Amino acid sequence: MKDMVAAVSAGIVDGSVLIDLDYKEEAHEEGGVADIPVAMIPSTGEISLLQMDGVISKENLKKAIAMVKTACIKINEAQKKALKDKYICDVQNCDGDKK
Amino acid sequence: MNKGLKSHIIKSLGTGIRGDGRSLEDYREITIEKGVSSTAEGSARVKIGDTEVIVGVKLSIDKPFSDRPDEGIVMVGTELLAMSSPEFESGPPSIWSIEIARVTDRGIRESKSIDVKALCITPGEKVWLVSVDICTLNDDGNILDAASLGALAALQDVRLPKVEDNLVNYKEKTDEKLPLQKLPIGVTVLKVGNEFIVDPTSEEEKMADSRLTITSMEDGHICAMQKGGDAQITAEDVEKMVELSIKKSAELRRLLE
Repeated sequence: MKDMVAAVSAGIVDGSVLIDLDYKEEAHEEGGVADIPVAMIPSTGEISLLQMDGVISKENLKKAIAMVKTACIKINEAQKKALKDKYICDVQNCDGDKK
Repeated sequence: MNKGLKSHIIKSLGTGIRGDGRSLEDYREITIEKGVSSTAEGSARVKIGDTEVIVGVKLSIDKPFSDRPDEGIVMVGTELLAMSSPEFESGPPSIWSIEIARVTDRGIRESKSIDVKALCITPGEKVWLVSVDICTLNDDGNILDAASLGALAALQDVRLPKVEDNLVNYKEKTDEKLPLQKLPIGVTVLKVGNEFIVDPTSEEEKMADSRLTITSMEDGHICAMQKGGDAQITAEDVEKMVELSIKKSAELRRLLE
């Protein structure tokens, strides 16, 4: 195992590049729209999944991937924290399901 | 695949010449023949080297989706005939055949190539349903690009059938064409070692680390992407692959104009 995979979706709404689109942003249909799910290996910054629906310029695509990279590093930190918290816990506060 | 052959081919790609003498960015010879089926409303046969696909477009009148009452419907399906490759089997659709249909569909749909509003006959009641069927005759690699090219050629070839008393008379075609506004062309770029190639043969497809299909339009904008293959690619790889595919799509588009 190389690393934990982190994923986030980027997109274009009304011409601006965004990440982590909410329902309203995804459902928006006017102007230029695009939906780009990306999965990354945070330690190397390599892309393991890439899809795109919608219309985007190559400049904006580059921008979107750069934003995804930053977000995936952040997500990866949360992943690591969640995993650690699962195993490292105070014995007194430990729930039955935690080992 | 034979490991020796794989390393040999990868090494020779480094010199910029492929097994059949092409450069890394060359397509094989492409021929497009329209109107190959008399029963379909539009059809085309596309050959890229020894790869061959037939695409047929059928039109029927259907009820629109309730959330899009004033839009016609476009559907794309792929049939990988067992006779076209030793790896294809008859039976239910394989993951690969679904992927080809989805990638082709996405290119046409997201580019808004077909003006679906113009396919509406009576809002909420009757719209044209356009079914695009892709059928492989021989697979020597790059079925994805052949399918995208074939689908567009077949859509260009469509002549709407006559409608009499709300019924379609398939025996008589009108002069009316489909409202095609754009020509989205899919170009698949493969990463083999450190090299990028287009139009792979079956052998080259087997040794590729990853692939990225990029569909782009006349204005250079991208309307669909799909990554395949097990290996990861870097952001720089994506940039190079996008650049190459936009360049090649302009060449392929000329064949349809």
